[in-house]
Amino acid sequence: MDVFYSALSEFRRRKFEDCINHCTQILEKSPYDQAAWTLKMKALTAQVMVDDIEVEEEGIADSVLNETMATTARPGTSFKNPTVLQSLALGAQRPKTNTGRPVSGVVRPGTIGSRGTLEQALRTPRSASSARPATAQSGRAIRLGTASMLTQSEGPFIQLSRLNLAKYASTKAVSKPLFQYIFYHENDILRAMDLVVEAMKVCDQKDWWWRLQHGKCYYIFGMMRDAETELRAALKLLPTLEVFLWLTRIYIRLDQPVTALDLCRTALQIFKDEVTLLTDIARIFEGINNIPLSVKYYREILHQDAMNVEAVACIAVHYFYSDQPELALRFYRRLLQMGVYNAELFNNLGLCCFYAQQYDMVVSCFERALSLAENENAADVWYNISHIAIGVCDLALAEQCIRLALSIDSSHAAACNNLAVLEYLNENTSVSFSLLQAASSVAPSLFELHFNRALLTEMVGDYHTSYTVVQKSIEVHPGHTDSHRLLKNLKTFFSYL
Amino acid sequence: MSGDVVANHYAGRPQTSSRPREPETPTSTGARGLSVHGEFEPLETNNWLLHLKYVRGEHETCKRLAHTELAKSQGHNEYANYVMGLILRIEGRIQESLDFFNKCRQLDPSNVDNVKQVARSHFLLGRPEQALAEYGSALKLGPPDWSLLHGLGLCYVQLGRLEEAAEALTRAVELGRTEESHRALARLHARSEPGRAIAAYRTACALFPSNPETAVELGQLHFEMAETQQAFDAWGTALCHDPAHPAALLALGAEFQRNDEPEVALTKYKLCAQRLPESSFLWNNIGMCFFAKKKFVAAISCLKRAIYLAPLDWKALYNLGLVHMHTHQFVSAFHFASASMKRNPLHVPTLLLLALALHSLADDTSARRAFEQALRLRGDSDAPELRANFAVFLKRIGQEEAARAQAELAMVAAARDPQLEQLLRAAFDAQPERPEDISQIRAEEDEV
Repeated sequence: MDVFYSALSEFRRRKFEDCINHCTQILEKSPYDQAAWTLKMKALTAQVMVDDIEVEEEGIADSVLNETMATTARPGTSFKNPTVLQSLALGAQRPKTNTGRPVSGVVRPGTIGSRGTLEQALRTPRSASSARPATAQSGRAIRLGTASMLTQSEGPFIQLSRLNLAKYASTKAVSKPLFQYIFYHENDILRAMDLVVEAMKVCDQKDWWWRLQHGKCYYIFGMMRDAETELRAALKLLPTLEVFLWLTRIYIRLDQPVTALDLCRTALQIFKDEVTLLTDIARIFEGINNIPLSVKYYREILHQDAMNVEAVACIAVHYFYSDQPELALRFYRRLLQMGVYNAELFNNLGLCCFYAQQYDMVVSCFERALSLAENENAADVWYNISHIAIGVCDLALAEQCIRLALSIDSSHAAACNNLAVLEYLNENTSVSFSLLQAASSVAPSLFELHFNRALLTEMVGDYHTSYTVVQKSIEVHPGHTDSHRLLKNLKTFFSYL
Repeated sequence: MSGDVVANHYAGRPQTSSRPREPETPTSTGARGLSVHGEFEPLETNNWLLHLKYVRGEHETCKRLAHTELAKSQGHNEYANYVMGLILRIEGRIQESLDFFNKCRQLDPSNVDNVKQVARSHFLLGRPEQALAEYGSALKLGPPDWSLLHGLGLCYVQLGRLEEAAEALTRAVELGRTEESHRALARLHARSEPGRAIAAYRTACALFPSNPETAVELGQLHFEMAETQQAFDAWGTALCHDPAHPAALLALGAEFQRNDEPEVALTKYKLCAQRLPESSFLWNNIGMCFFAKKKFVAAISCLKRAIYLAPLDWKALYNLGLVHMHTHQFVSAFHFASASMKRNPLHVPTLLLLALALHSLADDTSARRAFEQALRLRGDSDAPELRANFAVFLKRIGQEEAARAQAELAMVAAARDPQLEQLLRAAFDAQPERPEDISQIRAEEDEV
């Protein structure tokens, strides 16, 4: 059989390793075979290529470089200043993660870290569950670079520095694979950019694909505004889904959720009912705390794609926190039928069963959850079991569960808080106090910790600490009436002559 | 942007001295006056301005001014020190404010105010013993002052020396007619001598009628002494001054609810809910209002919110059990009742509820034990509804003799109440489907 034919076939069957070997054979015989050369490039690229449209975790350092528009944005127009959460009057408030974001239905990039200023990011203690990468881009670049070096023992496949970019840019069949090879495999963005510039000269800037690649290069360099112009130009040439998604991503990085939403809506007029666009819209609404609208879009996703795990999970969480555990239970059962089988799901099923008063299932759900749990989520499972124990007022069991949770994850602030409350009920005020103090340094974004600490210190007469701590509580949760009342009481001591 | 924030943060600190002087403050002219004309200028020249800025609440300007004053006088301006202390206290930096007050005291040890502020700082830092000593030395410096005695009283309260506290506060009340002292005194007496507490509250109300808090506390005290009319009046006064005062509304609502007027109570609670959305007591009471109107689903969701807010509140758990009993969800009723009982094992109605739930779940042995435990807790006192339920239960498990005996006891306990008699007779004659639910005792809460 022809060697090139078999290489092509292997490429199509995604047997990249074999394909590369065959191409190398051809190239050894005739080093100027462009077809083999291109195929080898494509195979090498396909080995390491990732779907880079999916939003990445925003690194700490990246947030410094952000050219954000407004420093103090109006509520609802920025991820840093989301719509003020309606307090309990409209459904229960969602609990927050250690880093201060309200919990979401699924863990995806961006739900772990809180979008805030650099100071906030640095102040958030780094623990196993809240660590954020320092920068997003370099982390991936380093990984990919090493991967490409390992595969080639006798030196790199293409000596990029010796390449005549202008020549290759003019060859249409080679230029695009070459760009992808440089961009994804070699991760040499600067040189990729050179190639883009050459190629743009050839096509007279009329090719949307090259414009998009240009925008991507700018994005990686953090030059968001230049990327935006390139992508806008690409849209003018030909509105494609990929360009829309990249542009949305840029507006999210620029912290302009409203513009991103407008863009997605425009895109939806062209690409009707496109799930990726709907997902983006739903995520953005969730990011600015507009849960009802977010859920509306997740519902639309389910109309198009009834198997979308993210949508099902997010809707379920919404129902759970708006006092309808029965409905949440149905959505979680759907997930189970779809084949999701993990500790989180069983844990949520157990909680829903308990709050929907279907007691027969609770214990078995949690047993299953515990058997599936690994180190990262076992603490959460135990923490939730402690809630069940509190629900039936078995305080000894609750305490044991919390202690187990803390033994797995000592920085579980919510567990610390609950243990402190239980210890307070057992009249171990000093233990309770030290627990709260430890937890509030781990998770400064949980107002309960501050409020409880303020109450305790006020009780023992340390008005000074109480005064400062209750102010922190109000800063985190401005609508907490009990904190305001405590502060009002304390103020009489402080302003009085 | 980040640089700005940091710079602003440090600008607020009193330690940084290398700050450009404000052109609008007259200090620069004062400094020039000293150097050019060589005249002696009193330290207190700008005290009027300091005072003005302080009372107008312009704390930042005032602090800057105080700094320049202190720099000029090498820290010898007593009033500037004093004002710095006061402002830092308002900002919650008690330790730093104590340092300033200590300096004041070094400058003028005979000034009672200086010693008083030092004592107060100790009190705020949670060191009542030291505060006590300081107040003692302040009292020696001059004639007794109400504020000294008031502070002294608070320290005694903190240390648990209640008799001395009462003495100090009474003297404070005699010396100065202030609301704080009256209220502190009233709170001190509230547990031991409610009569004196009420008197203190009344004086406070008469002196300062515009403070709704005092009126609410007075009402609560009246209510605890079962003087409902006076309690109503006090809450009414509070609402006159603040028509949406949450505690007064909650108390009034509870009272209406107790008198079987759930509609009126609900209107009060609705007003209250805007100010107290996170109060479990409020949601509990709202839930029971709906229960009284036979709207069980609304009642359950309100009570569930109460439990979400306070998972260990046995009253809400008991109420939820009761509502579930009425909706014939016996397993849930049992769960909530047993949870409630774990928090408060001595509450007889919970045991009764538990027994009824167990009986409905066909666990008669456990139900019987629950009944017996309830009767044991009640002792020999009359418990007509408990005995009546027990009688019906015994009848249903086929123990006619014992049932008749219990029924007789119930009749005696209820003083031959015709209604109960009728119910019991009906139960005995007609083989009822379910045991009677005479357990419609509502658990309600007053104040937060």
